[in-house]
Amino acid sequence: MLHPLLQEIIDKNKPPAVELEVDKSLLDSINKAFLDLERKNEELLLRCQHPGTAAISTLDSILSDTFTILGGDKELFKAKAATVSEVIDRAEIVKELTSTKIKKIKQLEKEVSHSKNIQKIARAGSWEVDLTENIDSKQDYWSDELFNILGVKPGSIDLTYHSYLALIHPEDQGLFEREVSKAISSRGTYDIEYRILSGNGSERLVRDMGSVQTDPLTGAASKMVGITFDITHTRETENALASANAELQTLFDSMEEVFWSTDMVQNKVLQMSPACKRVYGYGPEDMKNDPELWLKVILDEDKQTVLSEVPRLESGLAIHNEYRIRHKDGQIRWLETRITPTLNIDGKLIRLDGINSDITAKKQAENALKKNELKFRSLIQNSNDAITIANDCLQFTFVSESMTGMTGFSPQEMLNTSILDYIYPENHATVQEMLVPLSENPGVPVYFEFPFRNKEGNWIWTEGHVTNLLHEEAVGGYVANFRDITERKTHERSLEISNEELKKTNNELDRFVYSVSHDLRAPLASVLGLLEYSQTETEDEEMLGNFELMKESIEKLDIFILDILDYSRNARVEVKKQKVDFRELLKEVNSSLKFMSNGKSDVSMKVNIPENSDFYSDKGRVSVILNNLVSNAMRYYNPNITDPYVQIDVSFNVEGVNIIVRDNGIGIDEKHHQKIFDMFFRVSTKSTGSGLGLYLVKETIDKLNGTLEFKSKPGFGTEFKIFLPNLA
Amino acid sequence: MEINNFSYHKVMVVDDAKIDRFLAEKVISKYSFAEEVVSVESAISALDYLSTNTGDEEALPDLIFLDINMPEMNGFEFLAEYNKLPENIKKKCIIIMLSSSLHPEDKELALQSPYVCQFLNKPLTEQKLIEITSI
Repeated sequence: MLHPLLQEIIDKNKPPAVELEVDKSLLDSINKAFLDLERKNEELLLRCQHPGTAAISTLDSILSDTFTILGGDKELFKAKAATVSEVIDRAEIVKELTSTKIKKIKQLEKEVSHSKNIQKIARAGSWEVDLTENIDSKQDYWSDELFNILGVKPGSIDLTYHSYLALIHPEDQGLFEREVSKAISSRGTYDIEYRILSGNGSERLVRDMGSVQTDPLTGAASKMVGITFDITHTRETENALASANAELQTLFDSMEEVFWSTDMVQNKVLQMSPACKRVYGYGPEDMKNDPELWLKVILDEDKQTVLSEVPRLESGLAIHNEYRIRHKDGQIRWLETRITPTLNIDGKLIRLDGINSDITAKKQAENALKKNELKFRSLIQNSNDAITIANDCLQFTFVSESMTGMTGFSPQEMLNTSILDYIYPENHATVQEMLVPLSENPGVPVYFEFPFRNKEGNWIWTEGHVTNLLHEEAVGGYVANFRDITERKTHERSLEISNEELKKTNNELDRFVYSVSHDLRAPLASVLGLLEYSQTETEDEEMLGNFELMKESIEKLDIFILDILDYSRNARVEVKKQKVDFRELLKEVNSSLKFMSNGKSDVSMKVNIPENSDFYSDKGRVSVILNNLVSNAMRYYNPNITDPYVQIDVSFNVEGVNIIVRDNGIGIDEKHHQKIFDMFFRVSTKSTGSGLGLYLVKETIDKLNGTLEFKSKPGFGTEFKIFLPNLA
Repeated sequence: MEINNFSYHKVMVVDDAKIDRFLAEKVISKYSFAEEVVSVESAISALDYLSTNTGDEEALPDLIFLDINMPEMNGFEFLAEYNKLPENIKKKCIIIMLSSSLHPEDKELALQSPYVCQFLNKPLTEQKLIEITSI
């Protein structure tokens, strides 16, 4: 049974078994001394009322024994206590020693607790094995942290060499046993790593360091102590670090950019990444061998720019610049450099770290872009068209320079002003209406024509297109390009006026032609009528001859007037769409010929027309064509032939009608073929016509979108092949 | 055509041109087209004559040769006025347009009138008189 005080100390501090074992005897003696002291004190108290020498002597010997047990100096108790006060003094000494001893135990406990915490933090478990007897006969000492590392609960297994061995990965057990036996036999140490298959099933990597201790007297191995570290995490971290390092190295090696560091004190290149070879054409070694190489390759005209940054670096500021170098292959490359300086405590530049990248491609693209922009800018500025961009509130956000030439307003004057400021109030509604198609069809140009107010306050006519590009981020507005059309408008106006005048003239001409037809023809018809009448009133041969000449002359004049009339009508009058009955038409032609040819026609007219189909054209014009062709055939018949004729063949097809007018008349010499359709052309002086007939035929066919083919041979006759499209 | 066998009793010639009236009279009488020719120099005179003789069946012409282009009132205007005359006149008279116009429009317009039975081109000849009588 422990003394309650001691029990309390032990309970509170729970010292590790090993330390307690070491001082077990001490504790036992302390305990015994306490118990004795307690008992003796009771006796003493009983006897105190009657203290006797014997009692004092007994008490003194108990105190002396206790003092000895506690390790006190025996010399102090050599003389026996004789009086009660002496005994009380001695009891005080014993009490003090006891208190010192307990303090020492507490200190020990503190240290043990500290060691335990350290083990936990370091994930290091400690152990101790007694080697004096059979290795498995006694329970070893395993620290709490060792239990943790092994994943087993204290008390769940025997703390022996072999139960420990069983927790080691089977593949690593051989190593463990070899190293341990080697250490024991050589009284030495071991330091190995092996895997633990822990109680909770996970695999852990440990580092185990053991040391064999020997009996100082016999030199025999007495015990082995050691420490087992859990290095699972450490190893994992190490591996991760290694692979991260490897990746970083790969990156360093394969980066497009050159990474470098320079020691500015020794002017030495510390580091230069392999990309150097690609960017400069020189390898990192070249750069290290010649610390000035980086500057030498910079183009002379750019060197100053680069060197001018040195003071900045010296003052500790990072720099960023762009310059050109000559690559080892002779080509010029653009580089972009970022440098961070490091200053020492005295503010002296000691190191530079930088990244150089090849931006040649970027520069080229930038230059191309600049050129492009310049091109478009000059296009816009040199264009006669004004180009503007207005935002959704119709305020100008861009105005091209050409606006000044057109309106007198400079772009600056017009910026942020509203379009409506320059447009007639009456046209404002039209502008608003235009916004509808613009918003419905972004990107589709809408035409406009407006008077625009210039700087002098006059109105100029403009014409152009506006396109909704509000959705285009780079534009963000309505783009308009337009031009001054005032001059054109003026021309248009004068054109309209002259057009009106022309119409008037045309009408007058029409009326004139009508008058000609009547007023010129009426007297001719009267004279002709009277001549014919007079011919019937006389028998005088000479008179009759004169009348005939007069009549021929007047008829010729009449035909001429009629031809001019037909020509004028063909040129002026719209094509009418009428159903054309060719049989009817040829009947009319025939009857009008009767009056013209004075009844002397010996030419027979053969007509071949199929049952009429639905053919539509301008009846008057078709009549003019037939009239002229048939009357030509009548006029120029061959007197040496017994059967002079003109044959008219009409045939219909889907597209229209084919008309063939063929005669066996005198024909036309080939040398005239080119000219017979010319105005006023006459084959010979014998020709009685006006020279307008075939010209009129050709013009009329053209007007009806028809075609004309012609062949003729003197002495054989003439053939006209006409096609007229059906206008239905 | 047989001589002395008159086709018509009385024919009226409406023409402003003296030579045309003269020729018409000569041709009509030479070929015995009508017994009597009434020549007037204007459409207005013709209307006057007709309205004056409305009741006199004998005095009214059987046939009228009407010119188109005349001053004051042309042939078409005459036809419009003629339309307003009493039925008995319109029933008796045949109107023949006699013009030197070759405009198809003129012919079409003339033939649209229900009182015009023919459109002839000047000059008036024996041939044309035969055509009329053969209608």
